[in-house]
Amino acid sequence: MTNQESTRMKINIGPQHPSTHGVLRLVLELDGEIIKSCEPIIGYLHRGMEKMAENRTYLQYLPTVDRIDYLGGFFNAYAFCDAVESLAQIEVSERTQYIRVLTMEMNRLSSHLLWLGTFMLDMGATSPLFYTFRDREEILSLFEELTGQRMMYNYYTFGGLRHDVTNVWLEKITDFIKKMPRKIQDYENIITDNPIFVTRTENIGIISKHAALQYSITGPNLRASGIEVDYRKQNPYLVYNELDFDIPSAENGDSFDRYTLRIAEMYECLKIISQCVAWLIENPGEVVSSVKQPLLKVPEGEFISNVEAPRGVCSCYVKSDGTGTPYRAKWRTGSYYAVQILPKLLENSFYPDLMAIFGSLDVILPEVDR
Amino acid sequence: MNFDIFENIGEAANTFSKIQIDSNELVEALSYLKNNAEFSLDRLNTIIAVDLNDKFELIYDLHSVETGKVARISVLVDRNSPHISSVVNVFKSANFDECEIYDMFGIVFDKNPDLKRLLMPSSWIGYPLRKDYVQSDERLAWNGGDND
Amino acid sequence: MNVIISSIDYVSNWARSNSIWPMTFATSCCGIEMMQTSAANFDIARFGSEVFRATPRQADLLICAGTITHKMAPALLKLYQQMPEPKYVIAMGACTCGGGMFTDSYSVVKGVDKIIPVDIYLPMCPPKPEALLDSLIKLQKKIRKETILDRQKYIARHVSPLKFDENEDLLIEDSGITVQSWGLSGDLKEGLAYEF
Repeated sequence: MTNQESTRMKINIGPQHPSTHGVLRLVLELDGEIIKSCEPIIGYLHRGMEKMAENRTYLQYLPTVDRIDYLGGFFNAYAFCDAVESLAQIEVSERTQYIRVLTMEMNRLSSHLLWLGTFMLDMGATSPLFYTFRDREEILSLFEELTGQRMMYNYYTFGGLRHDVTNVWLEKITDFIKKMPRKIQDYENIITDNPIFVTRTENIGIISKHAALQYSITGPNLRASGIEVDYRKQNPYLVYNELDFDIPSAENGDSFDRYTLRIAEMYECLKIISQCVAWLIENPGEVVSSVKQPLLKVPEGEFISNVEAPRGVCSCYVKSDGTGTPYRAKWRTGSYYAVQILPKLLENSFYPDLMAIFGSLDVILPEVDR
Repeated sequence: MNFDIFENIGEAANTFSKIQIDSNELVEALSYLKNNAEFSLDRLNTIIAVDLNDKFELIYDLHSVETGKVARISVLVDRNSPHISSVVNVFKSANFDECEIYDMFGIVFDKNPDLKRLLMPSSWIGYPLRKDYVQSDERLAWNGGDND
Repeated sequence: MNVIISSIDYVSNWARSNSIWPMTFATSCCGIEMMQTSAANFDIARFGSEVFRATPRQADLLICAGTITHKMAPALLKLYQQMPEPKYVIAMGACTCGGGMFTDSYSVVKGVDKIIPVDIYLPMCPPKPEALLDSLIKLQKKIRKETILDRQKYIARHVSPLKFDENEDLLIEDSGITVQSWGLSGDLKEGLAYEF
């Protein structure tokens, strides 16, 4: 007589694995091919970002903030800059705001491109990776020309930017966004109607509206479940209320919807970028801040800033005690809660669906562990 | 509890003010704010823990999905015996937040189904984000120093 | 005699240096630059690294890209011990060279050479793909100078700087700390225990 327990198998998807999301460890309990329970173990990349803030001045902490979500470095830098600028009552000029929006939207585009390539790689298709990395390389060269760095930009300062953009650079962006829609269309042509992809992702990993709110899911994962919430429209910051763009949304909340939603978001990014470039070419102005950055002393108080990052809402809480170093800095990122909902999505699903679900949630581990 | 203190809730998300309540009224207040149709603060954005030197402060950041309003509820916890009730029954996303705060500060959340260390190794000693955490690394093997 | 050895050396080193297969060990930001190096613009396959093996048993280069924390360190040590000889390590990025910008953090190992022996150090945060290719070329030059007569010396150098006692527990002599780790025989002990 066989023991019921002996048909179950415990598998450890260890911290090192060829999936590109980072060092996440999953301990799965399998009954044949069905996942009975999943326990995510995180913390393999906990670098102590929040404690570091208490040992550094504001200007010293600013470059390290890019590393929290390295695919969206501008968003983290903006969240921290916004919190400090609100506490210290520093004004930001309109040209600065337009350039911040422009760089953030290009960063969102490059993050979604990388997500698309690695999602396809997890599902087994290797060619979209090379196509999207080729396009991402162009965006990175543009950023390298502007800031000197490909990934950790360190471009925003408190009250402005490090230096202005030139019209030559803006012309290059105009050329770039002219050919992007055709390329995104190419990706859609080979992926969206592919019967293997559709069978693997339709009705897989459905996040219901109630579950999404209970587990505090934000960003594209929430919009794919049918709740149309985007902080760029609901609580506009910077100059988003002057720009014309739509918020795509979907209904079912499965992996296929999350994919189509991010493709639609890429088109919206291009719209915003072209409007910003048009405004910037016509309106010169001052961007370099007049605040003495190394000696910045922020008055006492606390503030929470919210940014719509590519993976969800990124909130930064800064508490200041009147000196030149923060008293406490806390980061809330979107992928943290996507990892938390993962066991619920994986219950009683098949083992081969693990990557179809996990890849579509767009999780980045440094954001989870900070 | 007296729900009148919540009358003026509902600013936009880019301002900051917090409402102080007692630690034993916490679950009641959060359920009220979540279920009340006027506020409908149905998403717990995050739980923030701060180490004020003689006590801990927990700030619950609640967002509303329909209206975009926010509310920040602040609770003080005693430092010598840091216990507070868990809100996992109201918002499921609080589980990871509370485990992380236990890991970093040592605050024990009663009635949390699975309180364990999340970010540090499970047998770590000490609570890193407290202000009196000693970062001298002689205890740890791979931080060099005079060991080799 | 040495004429024969040196021609065998030449052929074997030429073959080995032109087909180094790395292992995917990308912890954080440097991992993305490693992926960009393997993509179409900075193709790493033209230097011989045709595929990135997922398992350490089939790889001969460990590009340690990304910050190593105390929780991750036993996994890294176990991966390194599972790689067959001859094996090489490139420490990519400032975090692996010496802690990087996280030098004062409580949970970061200050440099991966406290755990495994390193051949090439590659600073920068993160290194450009051209820099990673440059370090690969340096490694190829290093391999071409090797000789098969010294094989035992190379193997003797490929041990961890950490000391183990006879129970395969990690031993720190002066401070009286015993730290359990994943033993060399491969059985998994429970994580890492810090006791004092």
